[in-house]
Amino acid sequence: MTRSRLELLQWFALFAGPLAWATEHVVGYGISDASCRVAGAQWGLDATVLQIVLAVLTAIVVIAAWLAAFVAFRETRSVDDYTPGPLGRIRFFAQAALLGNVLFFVIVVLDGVSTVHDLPCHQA
Amino acid sequence: MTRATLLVPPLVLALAGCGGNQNTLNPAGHPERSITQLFWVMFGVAIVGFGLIMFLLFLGWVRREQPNLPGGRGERTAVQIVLGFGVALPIVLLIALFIWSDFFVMRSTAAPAKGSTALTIKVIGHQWWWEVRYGNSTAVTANEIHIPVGTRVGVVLTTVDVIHSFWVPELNRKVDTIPGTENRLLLIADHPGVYRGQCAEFCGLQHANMAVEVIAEPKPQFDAWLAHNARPAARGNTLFAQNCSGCHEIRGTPARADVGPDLTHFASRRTIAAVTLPNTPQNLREWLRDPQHVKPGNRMPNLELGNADWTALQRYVESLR
Amino acid sequence: MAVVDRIEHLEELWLERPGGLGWLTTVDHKRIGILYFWTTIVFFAAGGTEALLMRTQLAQPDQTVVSPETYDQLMTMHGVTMIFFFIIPMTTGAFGNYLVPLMIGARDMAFPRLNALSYWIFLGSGIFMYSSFLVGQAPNAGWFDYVPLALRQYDGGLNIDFYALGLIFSGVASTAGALNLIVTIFKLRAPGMSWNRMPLFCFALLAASLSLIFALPALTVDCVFLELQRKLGFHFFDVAHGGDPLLWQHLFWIFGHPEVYIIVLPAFGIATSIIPTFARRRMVAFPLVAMAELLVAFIGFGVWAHHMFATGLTTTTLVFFAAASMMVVVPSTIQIYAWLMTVNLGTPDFRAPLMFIGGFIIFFVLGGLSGIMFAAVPFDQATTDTYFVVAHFHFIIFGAAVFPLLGGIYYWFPKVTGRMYDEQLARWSFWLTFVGTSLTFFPMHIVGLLGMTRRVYTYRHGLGWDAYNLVETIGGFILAAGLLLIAFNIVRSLRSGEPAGRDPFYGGTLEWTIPSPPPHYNFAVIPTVSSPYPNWDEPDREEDLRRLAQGELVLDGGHETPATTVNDAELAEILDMPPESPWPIVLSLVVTIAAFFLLTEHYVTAAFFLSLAVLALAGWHAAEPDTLPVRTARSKGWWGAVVFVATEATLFGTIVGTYIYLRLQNAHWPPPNVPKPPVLTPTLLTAALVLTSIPMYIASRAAGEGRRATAWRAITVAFVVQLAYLIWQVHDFVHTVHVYDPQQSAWASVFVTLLGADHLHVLAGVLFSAWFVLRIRSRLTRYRIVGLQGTAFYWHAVNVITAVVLVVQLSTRL
Repeated sequence: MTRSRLELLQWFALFAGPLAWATEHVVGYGISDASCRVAGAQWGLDATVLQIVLAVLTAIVVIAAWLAAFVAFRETRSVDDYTPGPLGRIRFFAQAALLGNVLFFVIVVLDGVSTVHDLPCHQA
Repeated sequence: MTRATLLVPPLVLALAGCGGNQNTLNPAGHPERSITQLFWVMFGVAIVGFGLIMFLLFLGWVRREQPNLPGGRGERTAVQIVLGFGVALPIVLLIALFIWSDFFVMRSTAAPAKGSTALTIKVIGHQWWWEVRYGNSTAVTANEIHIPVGTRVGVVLTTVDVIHSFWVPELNRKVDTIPGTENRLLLIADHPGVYRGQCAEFCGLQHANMAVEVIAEPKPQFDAWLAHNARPAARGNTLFAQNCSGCHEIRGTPARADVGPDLTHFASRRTIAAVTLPNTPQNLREWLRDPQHVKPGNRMPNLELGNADWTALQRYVESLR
Repeated sequence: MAVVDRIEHLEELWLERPGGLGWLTTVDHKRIGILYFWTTIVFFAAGGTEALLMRTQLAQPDQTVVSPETYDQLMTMHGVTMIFFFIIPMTTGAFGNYLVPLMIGARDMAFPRLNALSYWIFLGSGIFMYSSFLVGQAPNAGWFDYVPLALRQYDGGLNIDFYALGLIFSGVASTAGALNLIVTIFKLRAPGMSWNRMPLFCFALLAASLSLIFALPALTVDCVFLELQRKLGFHFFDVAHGGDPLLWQHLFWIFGHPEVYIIVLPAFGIATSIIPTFARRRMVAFPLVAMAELLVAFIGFGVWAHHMFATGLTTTTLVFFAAASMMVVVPSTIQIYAWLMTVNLGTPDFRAPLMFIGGFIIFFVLGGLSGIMFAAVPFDQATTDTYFVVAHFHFIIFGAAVFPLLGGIYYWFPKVTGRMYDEQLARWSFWLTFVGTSLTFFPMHIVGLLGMTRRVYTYRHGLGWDAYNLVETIGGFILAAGLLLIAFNIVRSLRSGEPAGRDPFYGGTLEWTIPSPPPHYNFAVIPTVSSPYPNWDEPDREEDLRRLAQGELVLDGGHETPATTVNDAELAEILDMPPESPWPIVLSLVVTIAAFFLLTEHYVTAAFFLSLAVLALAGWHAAEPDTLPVRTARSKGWWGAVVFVATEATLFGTIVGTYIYLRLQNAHWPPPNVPKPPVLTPTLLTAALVLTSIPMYIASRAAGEGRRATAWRAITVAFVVQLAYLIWQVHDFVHTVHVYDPQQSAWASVFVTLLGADHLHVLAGVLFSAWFVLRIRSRLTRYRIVGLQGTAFYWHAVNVITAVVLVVQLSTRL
């Protein structure tokens, strides 16, 4: 694998997951808020469908990011913790992304399942 | 670990009996019961988790001369422990907690659906008292809410000024009162009693003295109480009209303001000034003559009346049963 | 040149003026760290006194030790002081400033004068906030200051104005400090210190600083909205005019939750420095621990509404925050097990610093467990706003943030002072503080479950709370005694402690490779780095001695330190660092005076002092460093501009987010009686401004290639168009405010604020452009090139933001 492809994989692995979750989080909250307020009535939003689509798309990106991390981790298996950059640094961030993307995945799954389960616009 | 679990039942009994009647661990209705149950299970798991951590810390101290884990294990095992106990196990437990608390317990504690309760009460927060109105009735009272035992009561909450929070710990969780919004809360008491609550969102100088009592009583008694409170007062009073009607309403008289609580049946209430003082003649005397001493900064001014006037006024207020 | 001559030469180069004046003009990160340390200790004592007064009042039911008004001011200022004027400046300003350059092998922070500025502004904002006590009007609505209580109608004095202006003001200091730490960590690491070789303390400070950059704008915007509503009658928080009281809470907690990670992350950093040293081995699962620190900060941005679970939000909204609140726990559990495995795998030496970390672990786990309970929505809805939550956050803030701090004070005391503290006294101080902390805060769990709400100046007898409160008060005094004992140990050891030497604990990081106290220049030779524990890499330290003898990277040609590439720390250029300067303290003084005039509504005078501030900035930048050989990596100045743009973009994102948030709640937006903004003129004007990105880009490119005349012409063209745009818009703004009338609707309030913020940023950009029109006319130096490139970057961002503002304006036509 070329160095530049490995670099790309590593940065994708590190940033795609968090950015995808952050987007899903803000947009999802926005959809929920909009659909239960005046705007929802005005714009005729079907929040549940939108939320499920959002969650699924986000989960796909996070899985892709995790896979990218896994590939980067495998490609740097000859390297140890303190090898200098770029290889040492790539392995370091690959491990970080292997962990991080698991957490983002769980959050998104919980979000999606809850959206299906919860009554819309019910005061908690 | 066994020692810890043995602690739990006496702890439950101790804490249940330890408090007054504002004790989250002494639930009197199913919403609070589900919360209390949730707490005890979380507490149990927490004890185990804490115990494990303390054990590892203790082990580190006891084995401080040995540069490895028990059984001669090294870094590889250590990393496995970090991944197992630090990542996998917490994720599993947290998902379980999420599902139980937010899918199941929340069914008990969430706002009741509109029209799903036998009785609806409107509670309006003021600095620093609670206005209480009964749907389908002209009954208005303050700081003391009566409900029939074993009945689902829907409380609709709002505020005329700042954000307050209505909380009766033995019956359910709290909900904030937000200006311009109506939030809803389910109250249901399994057995008769006086359940104390308190404002739980800092709302200014007398936030500490903005309590409420929810009195659950058998239905016939409740119906009688409600009917009684719906009736207007027997008579008015000139002193009252001159000095108090700027802020207080007494239904059936010209006194019609809503700055302070409705006093139509004041004498039948258990407490004065949002559960700050028991409603006794001595306390009432103290409150009338020097409210700023009892509740500094509250909106009821100290008036300059003569002794004879105070006595007459107090007698009138005491007649408002 | 002999080694001893080189060292003498370095001493001369880095010496600052002597005496008190030297402290006022210092730019040395170590001296600034010490200034922060003692100043935050004073605020800690103030916050502690406030706490003890409250606990005395609460020791028994129905007491009248203090009046309700006094109590409300005490409880508010206790929170404000401890968070904004003690813990954050102590961890980032004292520990961060002192240690980060040392740990990365640098001779100073990236921007030494900015560093001094952040201290003096912090001091100014603290004096500003505390002067409220002098007039008996300290903030009194709680440290989170909810509306409507904080509006003028319910709190009409100066109390809340002190709060809002004070926090905006102190936010400037925190932002400057965070920017500095980020750029320093990005650019000034010693050659060879790629990300995977950077000490965990630096990861922690990086995570905290990145959080500050993205979290502070929400608080700033919230406070600006509050002051606009209080002073000028705008509408953001009242329903009647289209606003929402919950808006305050959302914005506050979007800042407020990351804030608590900002508080605790540096403490994690201290813990992860002490543990490897005293366990005598490297941290287990280092990459996971480093990532955990960054992850907790990032996920922490998504949990804010868990502070609002009881406000009546819908279940479908809550779920996003409940799910994130559950997963945010995992990075912390990773760290806890990593720490414990490190201790177990090592041969721990339980001297005072490690004892404090042991106490920290105990308290952090307790506080974390109660925190997990709060993630369960119904339980939170039962116990939020009670003493159960007070217990939770004090276990975290005191137990998990202050305990490592105390351990860190002992740990680095020998390095900073050259003397050892008294070990026996230190152990006693640990036990006293540990017992005091436990007694003060543990019973709060119980009394909260028994129904005691928070922020109450008194409580009734007979509810089962009396005994616990008394125990808590006694605990508070024991805790105070423990802290005083630590202070006594430190002060006494300052005078008569044993000489400590370079490395009393055999620590792993670079600060232990240099003398105690460190020389002004930190490192005689820029160190060789192959791991996060350089002091344990003997071959590298021998290599240092060899390079010192050869003069390799000794950098004694001037006030110099190397800059490296961000990811892999390859040498990029040699930086010439500024000497001491009076401008930071002058600028801070002027801004503090301006704040007082804003408080008392003397807006013209305030504007006058703010323009003096602009002049001070010009004076500041008049002196330039030497031009040294450059490689092609992006400069620290460019990164500084990027971080600055990031925080300003977040600010605009917050205002636009507010616009959208309120729009969702209003049937008519704008309201029917308000005319819709025009389309054609704003579009043309915005297009003209956005097009100035072209000459700005040309100027930036040309300057980078040394073509002065082209660069000057391009920037002058851009400046002329930008100035014309600004004059037109300012003239138009007066008319705009009159037509839309923010005093009538929330829509107009947000819209006018958005426009006003944009114009202010354009004004700043015009001033930057003007400066370079003047400077580039004569000469093109490296300093001016970097400044121009930073300005160009800033302008590109402002143009994007202005385009977004236009889109918002045009959206009213949809």
